[in-house]
Amino acid sequence: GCQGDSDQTKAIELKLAHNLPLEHPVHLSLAEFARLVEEKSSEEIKVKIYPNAQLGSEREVIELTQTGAVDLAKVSASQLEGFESDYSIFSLPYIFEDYETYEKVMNNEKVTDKLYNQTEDIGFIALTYYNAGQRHLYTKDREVHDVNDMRGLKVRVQPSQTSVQMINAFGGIPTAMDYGEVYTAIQSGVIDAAENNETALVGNNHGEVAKYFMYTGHQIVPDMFIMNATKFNQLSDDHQQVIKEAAQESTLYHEDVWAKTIEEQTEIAKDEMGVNFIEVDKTPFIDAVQPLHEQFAKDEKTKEIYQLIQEAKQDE
Amino acid sequence: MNKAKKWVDKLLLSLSSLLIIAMVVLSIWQVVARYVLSIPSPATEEITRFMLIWFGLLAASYVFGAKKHIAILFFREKFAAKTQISIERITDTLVILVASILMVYGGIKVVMLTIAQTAPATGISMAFVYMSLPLSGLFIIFYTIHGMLTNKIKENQEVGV
Amino acid sequence: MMAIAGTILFISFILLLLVGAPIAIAIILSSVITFFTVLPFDVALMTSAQRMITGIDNFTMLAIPLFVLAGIIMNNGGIAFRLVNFAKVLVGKLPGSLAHTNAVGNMLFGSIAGSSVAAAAAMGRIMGPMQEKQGYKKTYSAAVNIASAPTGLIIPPSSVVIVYSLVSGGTSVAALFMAGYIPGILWGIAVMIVAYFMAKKENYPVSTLPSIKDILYIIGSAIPSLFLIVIVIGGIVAGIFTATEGAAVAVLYSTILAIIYKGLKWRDIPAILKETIEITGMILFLITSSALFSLVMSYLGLPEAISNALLSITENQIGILLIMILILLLVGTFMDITPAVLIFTPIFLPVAETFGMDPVHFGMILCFALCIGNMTPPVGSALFVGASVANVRIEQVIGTLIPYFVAVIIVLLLVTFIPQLSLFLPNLFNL
Ligand code: NA
Ligand code: NA
Repeated sequence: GCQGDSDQTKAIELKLAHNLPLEHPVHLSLAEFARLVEEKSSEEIKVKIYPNAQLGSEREVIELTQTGAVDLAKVSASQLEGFESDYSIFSLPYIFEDYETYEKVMNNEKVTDKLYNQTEDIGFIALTYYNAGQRHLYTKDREVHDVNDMRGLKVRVQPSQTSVQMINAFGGIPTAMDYGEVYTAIQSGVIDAAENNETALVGNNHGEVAKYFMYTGHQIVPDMFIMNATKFNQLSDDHQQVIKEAAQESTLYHEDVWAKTIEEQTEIAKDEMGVNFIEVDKTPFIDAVQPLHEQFAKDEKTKEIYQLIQEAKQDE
Repeated sequence: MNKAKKWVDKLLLSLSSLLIIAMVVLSIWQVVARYVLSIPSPATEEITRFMLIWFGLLAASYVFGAKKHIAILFFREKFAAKTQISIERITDTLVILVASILMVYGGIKVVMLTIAQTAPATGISMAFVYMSLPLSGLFIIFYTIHGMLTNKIKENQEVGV
Repeated sequence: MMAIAGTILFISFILLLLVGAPIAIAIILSSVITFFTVLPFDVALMTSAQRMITGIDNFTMLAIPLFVLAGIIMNNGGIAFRLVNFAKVLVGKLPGSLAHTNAVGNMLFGSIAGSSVAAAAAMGRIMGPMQEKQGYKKTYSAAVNIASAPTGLIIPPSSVVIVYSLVSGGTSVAALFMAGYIPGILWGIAVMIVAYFMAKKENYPVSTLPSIKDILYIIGSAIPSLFLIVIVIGGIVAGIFTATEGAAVAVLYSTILAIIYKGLKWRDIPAILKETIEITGMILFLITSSALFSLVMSYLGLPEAISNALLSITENQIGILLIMILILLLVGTFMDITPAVLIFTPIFLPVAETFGMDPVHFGMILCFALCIGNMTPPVGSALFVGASVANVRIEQVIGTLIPYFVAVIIVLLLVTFIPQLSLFLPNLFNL
């Protein structure tokens, strides 16, 4: 459908890239964003979505957004670490003690003003965040109730120094491997455990091989919705407002979609895969990573955002 | 000029050889680390990946000098020898265009963009990784000009894997 | 606009191929030109430059140079010769026995090396003179060698399959490796059946089998080479190591073996590395340029448009599969396998998935169809190398190749329409 819409050539087309399949909750929320933008701008702005990593991995897509080949992208905050050190704060385990704290901070304007606009000089800004769940620990056949139960546990970690230090602090043995190999690695016993949100059990079939899921909630890493800065600044004030509103509304929309997904997937994992879900006392885990907190509070690159988040937690 | 080519050949071969040997050693180290020593190595994997990029582009430049990039010569060979040389000049010019505009100019622009960007596991600046593109572009330009000056018809292979 | 850009992409690509530009350069240049039509100059250049780096920024990709290196070490280390002797014991009693030995030798050698070129060269050099001595026609021996050399691209390990795994969004390499055994062996058997009838017609002699003692010795000396398959493929399938690590283990193992067999000396190493650098420099450059081509296609929405066009011709699953196979066979005749896999997977795989096809099964069909091009003119690696080591001209051998070509296409149809041929082994190993 490339020809024949000459009356709409005035419409601005924004290209939006992400790496998830069409049925994923994030895609639904991005589609909602697209719908809202078109509606609010009276069809003056159109959004074309490239799902499924069609334009590349998240890292590649961030770079495309920097250069302006892509206008909008959904990427994990952890992927942004390499571009802006502020984003590494999300890797710090228990920077948010629980989900409520996380929501409070993510909606604090002092935090978002700094975080969202910080990257303008490298070519992009953030418009909003999407809830991407809490990361928990899951094991092949070992129950973990306390941080002591993690001693000697071989855990797959994400390729970041902070994640390695976190597992070390818990007393486990961090093991690096590609996420795609986790299933076979748990099955063959190369690793004892991995960590991710509930969707890994069903979406990646890890529930077939990992039977214990502990609610450790050690990291809460949002997805960020970013936009090419030049493109945003070129828009009229009205259009900028449209984009911002649509982004925020889609974040709220996403809260519901995400909550429903987690609930459904947890049910499937429990009933069809026989995964046991276990509540744990987070306090000993939080205590274990205090040295990491001190490190982040001292480091030149992270101390400002660390302080800002601590203050936001106290704000009313 | 021929001396220079020999020198560049030697440089590229030595660098690529060192890189591939290092990649073999690091990959085996990764297995050993996982099973025997229980040491995590996200950094090993990242370094190995960056070595592969450098290896791939340096080796590719070398192949331009060795004239072993595959091409389809079936149609070109239907022409008279003189015409073939003219066509050869055209393709040489195209190679130089790609190497200079895309690899060198575009590559340097990307290097500038990525200076502040760091790799997640090692913290290496991504500019260091992207540097491989303009550099190999320069080698390719050198080889192609050398080939044009020595004025022999290029015998690109038609053979792949 | 997109339609115009798409036309520019394909027309400039084909023109550049026709004038004999290196294929990688044709791919890059047509992609960049196309980007210029939809993006500002600098953005187009930066985007393309970035993709040329990220296109090879992948740990699994490292398996390709490492398997090539392992293959070259084996080729230099006296391993090929031991495999030929072993093959002779297996098929020595068939009419045209040396031709069968050649075919089985290619399958065995390919099953550890993974390059049709290396296999065709190694086997052609060893088998050609033996066959000539027994009065085989040169074209006959060359045809068998050429037709069976590509089996090594289907029987694991296989770099073609690794490329497919990457471009299809991470289909398990282990599953694809296991999937390749039956189709690859069937390809070899099809070649042997044709060779059998041709040999009968020509009354080629049957070899005499060596004594039991010699047979045992031959088997014994082939076991260490064959054991490589167990370690590498077994290790990958069992999840003990990744494809890349398995390839590194193959390098280590073949080096040790070559040293023990005294085939490998210090002074051979530079030549081995040089050959590896030449082959992999070419392949990696093709891979990264094809990554750019794929990006341009996705950016223009071409895979989707082509899938929709295909589905509008017919909704019949068999019909669509046949059309895709026909296109792949045509592409394979003139294009190298690696870029073809990179370019056609994103176009065809989504179509196959719309009717619920397993990506492992589809990968097998795609790789198999493209590998057939390896033995056909105008561009075919196995054809060129096989003809050159046999000292025959390409035109001379083409006629003899036709029945093999037909037989292999029949196998392709079996692989396409009997999913179990590809999926039985991966399922058996829970992959
Ligand atoms: Na193989
Ligand atoms: Na061909």
